[in-house]
Formats: sequence, structure tokens, C-alpha cells
Amino acid sequence: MSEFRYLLPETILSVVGAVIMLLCPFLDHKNSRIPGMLSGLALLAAVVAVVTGWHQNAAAFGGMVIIDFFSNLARLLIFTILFFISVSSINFLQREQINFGEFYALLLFVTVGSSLMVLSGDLILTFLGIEVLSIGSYILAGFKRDDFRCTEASMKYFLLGAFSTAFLLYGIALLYGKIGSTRYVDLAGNLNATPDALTLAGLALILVGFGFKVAMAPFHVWTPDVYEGALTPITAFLSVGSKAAAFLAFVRVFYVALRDLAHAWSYILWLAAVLTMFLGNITALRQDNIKRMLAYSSIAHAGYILVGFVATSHFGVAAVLFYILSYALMNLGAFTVVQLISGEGENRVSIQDYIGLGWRQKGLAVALSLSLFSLAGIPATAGFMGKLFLFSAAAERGLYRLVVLAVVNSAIAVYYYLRIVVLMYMREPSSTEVSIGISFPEAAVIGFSVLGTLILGFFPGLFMRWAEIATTSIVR
Amino acid sequence: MILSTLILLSFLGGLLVLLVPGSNEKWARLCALAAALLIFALSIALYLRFDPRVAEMQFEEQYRWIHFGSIHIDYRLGIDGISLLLILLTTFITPLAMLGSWSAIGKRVKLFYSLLLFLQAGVIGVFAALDLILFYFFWEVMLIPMYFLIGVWGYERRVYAAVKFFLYTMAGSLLMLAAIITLYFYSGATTFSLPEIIAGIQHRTTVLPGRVEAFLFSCFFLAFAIKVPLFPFHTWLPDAHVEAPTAGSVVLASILLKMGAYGFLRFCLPLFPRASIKFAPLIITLAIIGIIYGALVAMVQPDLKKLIAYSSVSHLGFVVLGIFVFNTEGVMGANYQMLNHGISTGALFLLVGMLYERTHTRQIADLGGLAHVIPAYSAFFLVTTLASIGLPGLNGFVGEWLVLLGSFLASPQPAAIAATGMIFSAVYMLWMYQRVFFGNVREANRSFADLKLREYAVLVPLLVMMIWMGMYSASFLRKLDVSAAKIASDIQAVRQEVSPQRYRVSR
Repeated sequence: MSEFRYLLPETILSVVGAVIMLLCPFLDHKNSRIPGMLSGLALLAAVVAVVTGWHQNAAAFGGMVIIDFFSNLARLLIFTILFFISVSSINFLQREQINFGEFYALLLFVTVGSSLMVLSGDLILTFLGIEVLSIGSYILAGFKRDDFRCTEASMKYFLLGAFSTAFLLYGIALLYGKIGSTRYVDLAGNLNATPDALTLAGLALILVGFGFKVAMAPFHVWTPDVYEGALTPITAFLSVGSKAAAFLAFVRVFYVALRDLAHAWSYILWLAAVLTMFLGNITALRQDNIKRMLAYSSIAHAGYILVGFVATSHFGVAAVLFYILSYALMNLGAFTVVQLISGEGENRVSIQDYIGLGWRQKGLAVALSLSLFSLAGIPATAGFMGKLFLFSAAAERGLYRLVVLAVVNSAIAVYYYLRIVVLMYMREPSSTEVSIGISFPEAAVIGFSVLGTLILGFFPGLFMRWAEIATTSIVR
Repeated sequence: MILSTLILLSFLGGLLVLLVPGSNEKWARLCALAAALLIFALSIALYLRFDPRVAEMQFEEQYRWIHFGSIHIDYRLGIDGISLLLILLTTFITPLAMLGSWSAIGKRVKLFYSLLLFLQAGVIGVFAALDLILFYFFWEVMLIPMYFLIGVWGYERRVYAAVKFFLYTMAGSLLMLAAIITLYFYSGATTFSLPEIIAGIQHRTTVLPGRVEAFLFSCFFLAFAIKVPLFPFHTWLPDAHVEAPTAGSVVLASILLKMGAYGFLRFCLPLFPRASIKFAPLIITLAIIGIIYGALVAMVQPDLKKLIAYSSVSHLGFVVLGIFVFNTEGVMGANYQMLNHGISTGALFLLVGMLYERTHTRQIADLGGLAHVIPAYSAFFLVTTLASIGLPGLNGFVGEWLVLLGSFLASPQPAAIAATGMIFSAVYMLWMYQRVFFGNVREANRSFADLKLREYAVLVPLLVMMIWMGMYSASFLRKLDVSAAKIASDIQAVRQEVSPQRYRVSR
């Protein structure tokens, strides 16, 4: 039983999630904010629980669960992201008049799923984590039932997602057939570096599963529709939280369990990285819906992260971890602004709605500009440092061609991020003034993200130190 | 610490201006001007304390910035004579640009002036950075203020010009980033510090294979060539110049263009000497085409600002020519020409801005006979025109003469062609002057007031510099001498090694 202390944060979240579910029928309009507050507190408690066990090192539940620095860092990251999303949703849900407690219960459950993925030491638990995350996400994506865009998003996500997890499970089954175990420790060191057809098929199928979750081309097609249709906080969650968790699990599965096959998967991922970057960036150029634009941008960023993956080095993993944090910060900032601007019914999501914003909503516009500059990789922001590390990691391994292709992509991307800035500052504002109510939690989330983006842009060493320790704890 | 202080003061000054309460525009302006003047005073101290006999970097500062694994990035600053004078040019031009746009900028004043100061911080950083990543950091960061200056306060087609400016520069510089990373890992360097990498290359501990060196050189070259701009990468320049507000055009022409040429000197030549020698004939050809082409296109421009913009293409051709003939005269001339161009073209843009405030037109066809209406203005314009043409006694002559001398020593044919550029420049500048200031006055143009006190305050310092630099160039060339000679001799040494039989001692 004592092993449960390693899963204290997950236990807190699950219990509070269940409590919220039970509480829902007894809540009326006056105290409709309680579930949101509760979920925020639960996530905060989970963060505290992770921090108190910061230096724990253990393999619990017979190796099913691995607690090391990587797990703790990953959990801290995921819980913090979810905390921000949860507190910034409270006002949003009230504005959209869908303030149901189930939203927060589901948010907590998907958090547990994400966290299980990253600390799992067994492909079966990884799969379970992904399933918990996915099923919650399907419902959340379609949370506004009477809105057809929302329902469409949920349906598409569910159909394609169900397929992808089936692929993943099939891949796991094939590897089990080969090795006779699904534990990472058993897989590592027992797979042949020149794999046979069975192992290769297993690898490919697992790659499809993860590729879907992180929106890697050619498994990215769901992203734009789902991001556009889902409620903005959920879009933020899918693009930041879900993607971060999937990439973190991706790191552990591929760098630990499947490390013997590094030669095979790094080759596939090289191609996938290039394809993902080009598809994401080129399609983003022509988007007029900001959520859709950010969706394609998030595809492109998955491509950049894959560049670090391909490096298959210590530095590469650390760079990936750094980029996940930077990406989370800049996207949280951008999405929270988009959520505020979108207005009631989320009708103001066209980029034309940003005309003149720079002079009407100075704070929001500055925050969005900084986030966009960071996404574009302009120095003094976390986005630049992240790219510098990813590309350096690739160059260190002699992948110069990949570096040049990635750099070309960064140049393409500048155009569509810049377009928003142009609209905000360089076109005269239209006459219709729309008032935007900003509550404290949203302002705090935006402030924190922007500040984090800038601090990491100047002093990346602050986080890179942790990223290195985390890398050392899994890659030996 | 003085270099960091300069950068930090510019940055803090920018913040301070933003924090001026309410819509108190006058105070914002005064604050910005005071900050700029303070920084200028400080940079004069830099000039006075600079030791011209030392070839090594001076005022060095070094702190650990990003250190982990195989990555060693330092915050390292330092200057030689070349960067010293360019920093001085920057701090000299910025307050004048502020004063010059005192009444032209009516909206969002605080942001305008703080952006000018942020820009200055970035530019000083570019000229002082001695770490490749730190250099790239400043190089990119200063794009953003310039982009806003053009895009927010510019004329009708400002958005197009701003985006074009940003994308062109960004495309070039991202390739440079790829080259920086590749250079670092390929050469097995242990730090991104420029002096260490250069030392490795000079002592042959770092050997780049020919093709790799050519590729890396091309990436750096492209980034700088776009900035200079060298023909055929110049197409963003006329748009950006014409659409930018006066202060934007001034800073762009006087300072930002110099960053490209500075990049050639500081990075391309020392890092890739063999590739530089290999590509020099091609680059010299492009520079000469730029000189002639810029002059010919300038001749037919109906718009004053566009005319000056194309004349910049022509003048900067001389700078590139001087750099790539690889001798002390050429390099010194190129540097001097950079300063000249900064002063005289900056003055021209300021003058055109003043004219626009009165006439609200920049079309040459709408003007004429202004010498009768505003004689003092016309006099200033005449001196600046002559300086730009390269009349002996004024600053332009010294630089162009040195460049031509340097290129004659290297090979006479290209120098002869380039020299015709000077004739062309006399043609388009004087013809422009004639059409604007002589002839009949239009009825609408009769009532203009002559220069105001503020405008004198802007123009007199520039005029003084034109004469000083023309009459007593030693006070600046002295600071350049050793640094320029070092760059030239380093590359000559490599050239001798590459092809001893083709090498002729030129003096």
C-alpha cells in the first residue's frame, strides 16, 4: 500500500474529480463557481504533492510506475498547465452559459491520464493513460452540445482517435508477441538493432498512435477541425497539455523502451519531422481563422520538436523538454488572449477581428504579440532559445540538412505570425468598439505565460538545468 | 562595463519614455532626447578612451550566459576601431533623428520614441557583440522596433514595406543562424566566442573543407548582403525607405545598412578567408553593378526619397567594393564611406522630411525654384548634396577616394568602372538639385517658412561633421587604421598561402 504515496497527486486529482461529479446535482446558479475553484485547488495540491516528493526515485507496482526526476518534472509541467487552463475556464464557461461541473471533473481525469502516461514503465499503463486522456478529451471537445461546430469537432476527434489508439494497442501486442513482456525494462536491450518484420510492424503501429496524439504528419489531419470547433480552453488544452503529455510519454517510450530501434525510428522521424514542418507552416499561411492558424502552427511546432527527437542524443532530449515548456508558455499566452477576444458565442475568431486591437486592448495585444514573436522564434523569447537548442542538438549529430530545412520553415512561419501583429498595430481600428472583460485569473495566466516566455528567452539556463537532470534520469 | 552601460541605458531610456504618465507628449519627447544625448556623451568618452594603437578588442566584458553540455554561449562584448566609429555614428544620429521628427510624429508619440531607443540598444549590441549567438540575438531583436517604426508611422503602403523588410531580413538571418550552429559543431569549437573561433581558423586548428566553408560563407553573406543591400538583394530598400517616417528612414539608411557591411568585415572575412577570396570576384562584380545600377535608377526617380534610396544602393556598392579588395586602403575607405553615407544620407532624409512637412509632397515635379523661397534650407541641401557626390573638402571624397585607391591597387579594371559611379552620382544629385531649387517657383510653394531653430539644431551638427570629416579625416582614420590593417593583413596572409604565384605585393 505504501507504494500509493508515489501516486499521491493522481489520487488527489481522481478523488476531487469524483467529488465534483457527485456535487454537481446539488449546485445551483449562485455557487456554480465551486467546481472550478475545487479543480484549481486540487491541481494546486497536486503540484505541492509533486514538489514534496521532488527527489523521489522508485519503480513502484512491480515496475509499472517509474518515479524519477523526469516523471516529477513532467508531472509538474502538466499539472501547472492544467491549473492555468482550469482557472482561466471559469469565466469563459459562465460567459458561454455552459458552466457545468462535469467540465472540471473531466479536466481532472484527463490530467490523471496525462500523468499516468509520463510516469508509466509499462506499455499497458501507457496505453491506459492515453485512453483516459483521449476519452476525456473527446467529451471535452464536444462540450457545447448544441453547437454544431463543437459536435463535429468531437465526432471527428473521436472517430480518428479511436482508430489511432487501436493502432497503438496493436503495436503493443506485436511487441509483446516478440519479447513476451510490455515492461520498458524488458524491452530495452532485448530488441535487435536490425529488427525483423514483426518488430518493425510493432514499432510502426506505435508510432502511428503517438503520431496522432502529437499531430505529426501524416496523422495530423484531425487537428485543424478539432482545434477550430472545440471551446477555446479545450483547444488550449489539446494543443498544450495533451500534446506536452504525449511528447513526454513519446520520449520515455522511444528513448527507453525502444532505444534499441533508434536507428529505425530516427530515420522515420527524420522524414516525419520534415513533412510535419512543411505541411504545418505552408498551410498556416492561408488561414483566416485564428484558432485554425494556431492549429497549423501547433503542427509545425510538433515538427520542430521532432527535429530534437531525431538527434537521438542526451542534448536532444533536454532540448525537447525545454521546447515543450516554451511551447506551452507561448501557446497558453496566445490561446488565453484568443479566448478573451472571441467574445460571447466565440464569434470573433477571424483574424479580421484583430484589426486595431493594439490600440484598443493594449495589454492583450502586447501579450499576444510577444507570444507570436516567441512562436516565430524571434530572440529574447523562449521560442528562440528552444529552437536554438533543438537545431543545435540536430547539428551536433551531423544532421545539417535537417537543420537547414528547419530553418527554412522558421522563415516561412514568420509570415503568418506577423500577419496578426500587422492587423493589430498597422491597420486603423474599426469604429465598433467591443468591450472585453478580463478577470483576474485570465490576466494572471497571460501575465505568467508572457513573463515566463521572456525570462526563458533571456535565461534559458534556469530550466535547462532541470531538463538535463531529467534527461540523465532516463537516458543513460 | 561602458558598452553594457550604453546598451542598458538605451533600453532603460526606452522603458522610461513608455512610463511617462498620460498623454504628455512633450515630456516623452524631452525624456527620449535627454536619454539619447546622455548616451551620446557617454560614447564620446568611449571614443576618447579608445587606444588606436591596439589591434585587439578593447573594453571587453565577458560573462557566462548559457553553459551546459556542449553549448557555451557567453555574454561577450568588445570593440575595435571599426565598431567604435559605428557605435559613435549610431549615438550621434539617433538624437538628431529624434529632433528631426519632433513635429512630424503626432500620434503614439511615446511608443515612437521608446522604439527609437530600443532600436539603438539593439544596434549598439550588434556592433559590440563578440559572441556569435549574442550577435544574432541583437541582430534579430532590433528588427522588431524597426518593423513597428515603418508599419505604424509610415506612409500609405507602410504595411507592405514593413512586412517586406521583415521577411527579407529574417530569411537571410535565419540562414545565418543555421550557419552559426553548423560552424560551431562542424569546427568542433568549444565556445561561440568569435575571437576564439577566429583564432582556431587562423592557427589551422579548425579546418573547414572547401565546400562546407563555401556553404557557410554563402549563408552569412546572404544575411549581410540583404542588409547592405547589395544588388540584387536590394529590392526591399526603396520600399522601406519611401514608406518609413523620416526618423525611420534616417536610422535605416544611416545605421542599419551599416550592419551588413560590418558583418562582412567582422564575420565573413575572418571566419571564411578562403571562401571570401574565392567569391571576391563575383562579389566585386555585384558591387560594381550595384554602383552603376543604383545610380542609373536614381537618375529617373520622380520621388525624392526613392532617389536617395537608390543612391544608397550605389554608395553601399562602394563600401562592399572596398571590403572585398582586401587591402588596408580599401577596408579603411569602406569604413569611412560607411560613416560618410551615414552622415550625408541621414542629412538628406532629414532634409526631405523637413520639406515634406512644408509641401506635403516628395515629387520632384511638384517642386522648383525653392532656392528663392527658403534660401537657408537650400544652402544646407546644397552642401549635403555635394558631400554625397564626393566633392573634395567634404567627407564623401575621402571615403570614395580611399576605396578607389584600394581597388586600383588590387586590379585597375573594376576600379575604373566603379569610378564612373562617381560621375553618375554627380549627374543625378545635381540634376535633382536643379529641378527642386532652381527654375520657376510654383504659386502654391511661395509661402513656405525657412528653417526653424530646431531644424538648425538638427542640421548644423551634421554640417559640421561633413566639413570636419572632409578636412581633417585623421581624427577618425587614426582610430580605424590598426583595426582595418589587421583585417586586411589577415586575409592577405591566407591569400598568399592559397595562391602564392598569383599574389602580387601591392605596395
